[in-house]
Amino acid sequence: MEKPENLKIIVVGGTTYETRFTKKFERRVPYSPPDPRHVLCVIPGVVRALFVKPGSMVHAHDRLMVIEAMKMENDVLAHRDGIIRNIQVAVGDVVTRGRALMDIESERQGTDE
Amino acid sequence: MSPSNKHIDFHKRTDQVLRGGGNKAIERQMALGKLTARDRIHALLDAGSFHEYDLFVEHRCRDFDMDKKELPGDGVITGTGTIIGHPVCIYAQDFTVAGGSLGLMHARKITKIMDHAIKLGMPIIGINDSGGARIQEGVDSLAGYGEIFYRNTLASGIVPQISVILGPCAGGAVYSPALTDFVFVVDKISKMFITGPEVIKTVLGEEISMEDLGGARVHAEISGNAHFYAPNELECFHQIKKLFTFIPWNNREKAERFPPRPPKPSHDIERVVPMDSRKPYDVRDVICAVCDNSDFFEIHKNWAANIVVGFARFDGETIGVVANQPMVLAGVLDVDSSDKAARFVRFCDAFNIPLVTFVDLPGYLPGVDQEHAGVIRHGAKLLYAFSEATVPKMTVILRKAYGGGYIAMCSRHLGADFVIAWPTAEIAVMGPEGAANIIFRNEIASAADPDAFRKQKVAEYTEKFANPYVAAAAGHIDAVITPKDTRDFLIHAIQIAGHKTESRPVRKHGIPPF
Repeated sequence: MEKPENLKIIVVGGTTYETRFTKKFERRVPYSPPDPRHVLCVIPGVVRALFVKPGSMVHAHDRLMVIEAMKMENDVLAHRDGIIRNIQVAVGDVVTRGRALMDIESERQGTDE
Repeated sequence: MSPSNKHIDFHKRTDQVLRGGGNKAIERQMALGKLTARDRIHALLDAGSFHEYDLFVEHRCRDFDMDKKELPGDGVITGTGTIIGHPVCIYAQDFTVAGGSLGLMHARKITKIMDHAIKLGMPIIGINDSGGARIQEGVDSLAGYGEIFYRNTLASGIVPQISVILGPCAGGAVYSPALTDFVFVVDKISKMFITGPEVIKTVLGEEISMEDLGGARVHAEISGNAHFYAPNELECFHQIKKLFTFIPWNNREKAERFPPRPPKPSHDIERVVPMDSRKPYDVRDVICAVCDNSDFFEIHKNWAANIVVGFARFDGETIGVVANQPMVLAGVLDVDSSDKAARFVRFCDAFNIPLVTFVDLPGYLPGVDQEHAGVIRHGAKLLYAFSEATVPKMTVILRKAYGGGYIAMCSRHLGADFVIAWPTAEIAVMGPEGAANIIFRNEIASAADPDAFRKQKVAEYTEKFANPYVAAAAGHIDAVITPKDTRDFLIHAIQIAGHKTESRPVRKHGIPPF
């Protein structure tokens, strides 16, 4: 029998198997825990307004910015109380889904990893 | 044995089984913030209504010294009872007995109660709290799981099936909940996954905690496996009881009718939806402004929140509501929201619950991730579900209804019985910007001032097409109705559609794109 090429190793239920990978499996991104500080972009669009500066104190659910996307003005809200740091976008920027827009540093030091 | 001794013997045997896994195991259960299986049943069912089956069932495993082990009830409690007067079949796995592990007799107790439920037309509630397969029983344990999954599938669309995850539910065991209609999870107590953190670490080198992998929040917010999330068990039981007020016992009944109640005066429908179609709002405020008592029971509240689904009542009758949510992701359809709404629509259709759909969406979410995640086949599920549904279907277009999104949201073309639009509705093949850019592409490119020309054409297109009257002129919608007339119209429509019949070509079953 012809020996298949490019065989990889996979472990399922404690047993090692030789196999081929699917393209999707090869391209998978390993899990990394989300940074609790990041304000993430949930919709691809254009930054239309920024209501905070580095050092601004915010409370959870405060409006941070507006992203225009899909013919709508979408509010980006704070996910927790804290201080704004590391704003990575400016008005007019095109932003993609999943990227960090800014950080909210918790006021209680030592609570972030 | 004398008759009195027989009674003493009976009480002795009963007491022994009722003690479950014993005091130590019960203490460990309580220390985890968990109720015992028996307490859970009593907390959920109407007081004194529980009738237990198969109390004296014993396991039959003879390997690995199992014949010397007594497992009271074989680690599961089963029976019938009532919830707010509704009869239900229920089982609760008892983690204090061999970790709630599932052996053949344990499974047989569950399948017996499921058969009973299917035959008698009673909902099934399964409380899951189990370490998984009883390894000592080998393939018999797998047989047990398979027999449960088979019955979950047979019962689907016949009686409502509810899974409550109050402990671990891992490996193959997760597929029973996944086959049922509503999955309830509780913070810090529920854990669901196919392969646990240790295996993932060994095989892929990825490190993750059990909570981050398959905790309650993960399934209520990210995976969508759970429909309801509660901070503790008692709140969870409260949610289940509330759900039962909205759904029928089986597919031959209608949900119980309640006395009609007007919406609360604090919900003013005139003030919810901004005129500017770019401004967001919470569509739940629209629902609460038109439904009885402003009481909307939301399902999948924290997953795919760009679409809202849940139960409400109109004139006392249960209605399934589907609504785009402009406040989240601009209300777009995407992989998850299509999946979520399609499942809900099929539940409503199976259980004789009419559908009301509120439309305000810009279309489908653009992105490589969406296309590669299969938004085509997932999006098709929603088209399928709405087209397939033969319950009365009412559609209200609030603002934007563009392109494929307009079709998908229970349009006339998918068999809606009534389609009405507010004066603010914009029903068009696409948004004015996009349409003008395509229709006048050459003219814009060759104009002296392309930007000014484009703006002019967008304005012209908006004026001419961003309204409900083009669709109304073609008869694609039945009426243009003001926000304040919407409730009366819907009540009227639900009343006259009460005896709707719709026949379909005979077939074994359709083939929805799942």
